[in-house]
Amino acid sequence: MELFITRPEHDDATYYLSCYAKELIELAESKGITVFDLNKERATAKETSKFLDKKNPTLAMFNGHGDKNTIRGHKNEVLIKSGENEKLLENKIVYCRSCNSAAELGKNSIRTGTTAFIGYDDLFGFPFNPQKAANPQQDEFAKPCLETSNQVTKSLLKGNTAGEAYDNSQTTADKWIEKMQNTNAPPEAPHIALWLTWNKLHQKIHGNKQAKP
Amino acid sequence: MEISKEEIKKLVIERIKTMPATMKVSLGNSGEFNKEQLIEEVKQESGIGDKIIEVHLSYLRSLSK
Repeated sequence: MELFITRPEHDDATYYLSCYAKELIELAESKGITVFDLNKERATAKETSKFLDKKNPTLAMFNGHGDKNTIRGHKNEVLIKSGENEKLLENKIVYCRSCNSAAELGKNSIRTGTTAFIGYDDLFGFPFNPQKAANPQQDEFAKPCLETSNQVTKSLLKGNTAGEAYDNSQTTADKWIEKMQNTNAPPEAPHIALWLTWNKLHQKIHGNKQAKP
Repeated sequence: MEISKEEIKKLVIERIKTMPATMKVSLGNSGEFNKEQLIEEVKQESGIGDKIIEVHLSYLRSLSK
């Protein structure tokens, strides 16, 4: 297994996703998995094409912005576009932590050979505390949503199938939601549960659920 | 009994008012919003405002299951 990962950091949202993805890179490396990490300005279409085509990793995780037809990188450069280059995702399990990409691109990419595609078919939102933006891992507002979304890649790196990885992320969301609805939960908890519920509802899987990277 | 859009907006605004002052929400490409900005978007029925209403209604429905 090899892990391909994009981590642009050009705004607060991408910086948060990137920081949380570091944990996944560390986990992959601890398991001896080769990681192709396109961080910051390296998250370009040219580099994406080069690594996906030539290195042919079996697992690809995209962090950043997106919409129903595109996955974006550094400064929102289009990395993958439906109908143009989604063939780059062929024979890979793909997890896209961005808005909307599971709606069209993810679904269409299965027809062009993507093994499985996990993503979101609507907005991916999360609350955060701007006072903690320099150190996202210390941000208790953001942690539940980002840990829940990390669970997909974490499960795949641990050898689970795409379907199990999806289920594990959904179960993690349920655990956090339950925690946020506990009577002892902090005052901000309903606003965190709101986004956990939304992201859970719109997290989708397409393709072969039995596949492993 | 059907609830009007105005009533739904009021409900969502009241819910947003309980957000901590130190909290913002990241909404993908649309950017980040604090509670005053979210309230304004809902009041104006912008694309973001309507999406926020959808998010809140979806959460409230999940509580009734």
